[in-house]
Amino acid sequence: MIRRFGSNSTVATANTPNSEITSCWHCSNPVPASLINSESETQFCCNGCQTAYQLIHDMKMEDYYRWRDGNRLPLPESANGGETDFTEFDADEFQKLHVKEVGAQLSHVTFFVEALHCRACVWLLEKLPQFESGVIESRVNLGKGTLDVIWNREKVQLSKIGQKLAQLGYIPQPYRAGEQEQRHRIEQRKRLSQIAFAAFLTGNTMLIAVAIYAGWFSGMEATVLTLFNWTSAVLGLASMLGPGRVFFVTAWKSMLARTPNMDQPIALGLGFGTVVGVINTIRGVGEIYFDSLTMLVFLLLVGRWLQFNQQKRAHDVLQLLHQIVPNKAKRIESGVSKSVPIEALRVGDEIEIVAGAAVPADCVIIDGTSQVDRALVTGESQPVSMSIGESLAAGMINISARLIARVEAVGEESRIGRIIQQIEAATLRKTPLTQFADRIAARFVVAVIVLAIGTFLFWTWRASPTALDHAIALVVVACPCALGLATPLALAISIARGARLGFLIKGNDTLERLATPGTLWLDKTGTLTFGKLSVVDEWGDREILSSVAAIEKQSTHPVAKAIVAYAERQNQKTVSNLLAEKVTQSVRGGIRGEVEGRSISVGSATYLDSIGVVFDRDIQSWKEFCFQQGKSPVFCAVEGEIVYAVALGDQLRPDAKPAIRNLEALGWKIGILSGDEQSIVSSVAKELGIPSERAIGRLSPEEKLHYIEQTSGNVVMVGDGLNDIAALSAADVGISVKGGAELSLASADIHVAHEGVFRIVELMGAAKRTLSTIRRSFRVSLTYNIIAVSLAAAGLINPLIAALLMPISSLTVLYVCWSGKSFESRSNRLASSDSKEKFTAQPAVD
Amino acid sequence: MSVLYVAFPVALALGGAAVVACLWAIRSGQYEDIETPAIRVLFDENVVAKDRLRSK
Repeated sequence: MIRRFGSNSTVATANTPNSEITSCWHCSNPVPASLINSESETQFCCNGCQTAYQLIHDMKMEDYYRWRDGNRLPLPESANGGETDFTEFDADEFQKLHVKEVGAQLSHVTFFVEALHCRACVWLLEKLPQFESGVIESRVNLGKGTLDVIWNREKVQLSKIGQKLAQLGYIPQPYRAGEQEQRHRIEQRKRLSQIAFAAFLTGNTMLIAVAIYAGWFSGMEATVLTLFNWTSAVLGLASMLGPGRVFFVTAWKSMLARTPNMDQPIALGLGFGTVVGVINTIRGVGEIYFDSLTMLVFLLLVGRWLQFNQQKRAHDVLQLLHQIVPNKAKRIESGVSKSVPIEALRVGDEIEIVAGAAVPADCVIIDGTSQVDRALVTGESQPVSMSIGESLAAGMINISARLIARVEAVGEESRIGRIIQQIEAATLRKTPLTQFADRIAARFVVAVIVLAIGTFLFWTWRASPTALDHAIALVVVACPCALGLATPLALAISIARGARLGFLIKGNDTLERLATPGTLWLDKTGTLTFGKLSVVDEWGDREILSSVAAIEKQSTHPVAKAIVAYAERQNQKTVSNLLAEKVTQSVRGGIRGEVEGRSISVGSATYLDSIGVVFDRDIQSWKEFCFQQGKSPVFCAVEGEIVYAVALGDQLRPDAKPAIRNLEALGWKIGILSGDEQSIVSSVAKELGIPSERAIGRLSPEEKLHYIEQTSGNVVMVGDGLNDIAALSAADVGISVKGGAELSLASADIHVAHEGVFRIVELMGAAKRTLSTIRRSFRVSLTYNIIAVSLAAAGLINPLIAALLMPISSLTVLYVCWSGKSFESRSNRLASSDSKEKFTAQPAVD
Repeated sequence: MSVLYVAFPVALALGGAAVVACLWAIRSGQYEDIETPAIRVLFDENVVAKDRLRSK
């Protein structure tokens, strides 16, 4: 094992010859077999990581690796990952929109950096001034994923800063604080201000209350007592009319709407207590409870704030776009191709899309033919040949040849832009869930009122002068502070634990929704399968494989990569030793070259047909068999005769089947929604045991959205992002799984930072356990309420006892929530099942 | 006990001042980011490097 700085992340797999996968020293992704350098101690998965590592060491910042969390999320790729010059940052259009001048020579810009997720990132990026002189200050905001940079315009260009950041592995994108962001910020400030004021009022009323309690035991002058009472009353009123107003407003609104709400019993207790307290103060006789009441307001506001903070802000529409669509485009002006920022593109412009680049806008091809990866829109795992007259959508990737196209729609007007807008609309349409807590509330109110009236009547019958006081004490002390706290506490703890394990959960009712089984729709590509083409079957004599791979190494086509990967797994040394010459690619789906004197042609049936190779019956039936299974055959011919063939497909993940069984056992109905061919979807469904009426292929992102909206009951959608984002946002719970881009957190309610479907099972388990924790804490706090109410009915409650009971019940609830089970802790998981580690293996061929 | 009639308002005023200060801190955005400062505390700052920065 290679000694590493930081966590020991060795993953056992059943497939590699040694039983360990080498991890990149920088980002800890697995290092492809072909890049392992046997002479060096340090290993890297790509040039980017190697550069970053070198840079960090040159600046003597190795501490970066010490700060890394154990759970390392590898650096994601975005549409702008390939760009390394960032010259568009210096353009006027960009500067006008994003850069602010803050001094004679200084400017300020805010970048969005997708890869920001741990303290090592914070540490490293805030040292940017040391990496690039001219940068005065750089500050990270981990929650928002942004980096604020102040730099000296005279000393360095913004593009150079962008390059340095990219070299370190943190690709900067312009940051747009959207409207939602603004609203969230204002709301946050308002809540914090209310909490601050409520705290002041609570502290002071409690101090006064202590003085009053002291007065019971040692006597107090009447005038002093009056002073204390009046001050307490004024502070208490301020609390109800100020920070506490929200409870009354919500209770009133939900009463008008006839929906039960936890605020109703709360408002009842607070209102009664205040009114009677004021009356007693004016009368000069009787108890006042303002210390308990203000404390209730304070604690409940804190509980609400915890809940509010769980709402991870959805990124602005434009922010999302920037991660899918490149920042700049090559516009053709008077015959010359010029690089312009994306904001400068207009409808009708002619643009050049080079091989390997992402399409910047919706456009129509006017020259060229190329293989295009349309996964964004169709979710297809294989690239498709496209030519003059066909339409491209922004976000697609041009693979093999240069294309010229005419722009039809840019930015928000493009198809992907409109899909993202649909996301925002769908999110607003979602109906809120009546939480467990709220359902109890209605019964609670009735119970309290009945008991209060009962107490009053009882004591009046006993001819006691304090009958009303007892009734009031009951109402105040029955106020469900603990109940109001239980749900936000349990959820906050679950969500925090989940976050540490790689489950990023957004929203209040997400976990509760997951606890009720309904219909679970899964995306196929990337979620149930690995999302990558790999060799799944072969025919003929394997001997030629190494030579074929030597030829395919010179192509960037996904088919080529799959073949090379397969060949290397079989026999790595031979592949790296062979050299292919006279390699030529054909647009008809094939490639040919010479290895060790032999002329080899590799390609699809169409290609080999076109160069005159004959298919005998044996190979024909194998070809048919492949098509039936939804696999694509690639044939290898030497001197005109087919000697070998491989079938390519998207391999099913090994954890998919057990996961589906588990989920069905929990009560979920499983279905597949995919953009891929129906035949492939059907064969996958058959293998997994999913009924065929719930396995639907050839769906566009809009059609997936439609299916989600049509399904009744609790709908959960699991997808890996790009072409699922509309569906994810429309589902009751949208879950995005790693494999796509982390940007899907914006449309999904939950993002799982791990691959594979088995994690969903974990999620469901955690949701169920969280709900049972909530129920348990309710039972505990209800016990307190019963004790308190009994004491009040018996006439034994006074403000002192009330003031003691309430914090005790809140603390108990806190303890119950904290010790409750939600997500399985790390140690539990590793101990329980070693077999789970196998699920992170690379695709394999049996 | 008449001192209380002075002490009370003063105490409340002091407390009020604290609240006002807190509200000012909130309004000026100091509570925008509560995750990152928690992490920054843990870093061992290289004092030499900081001086170099300041002189820039």
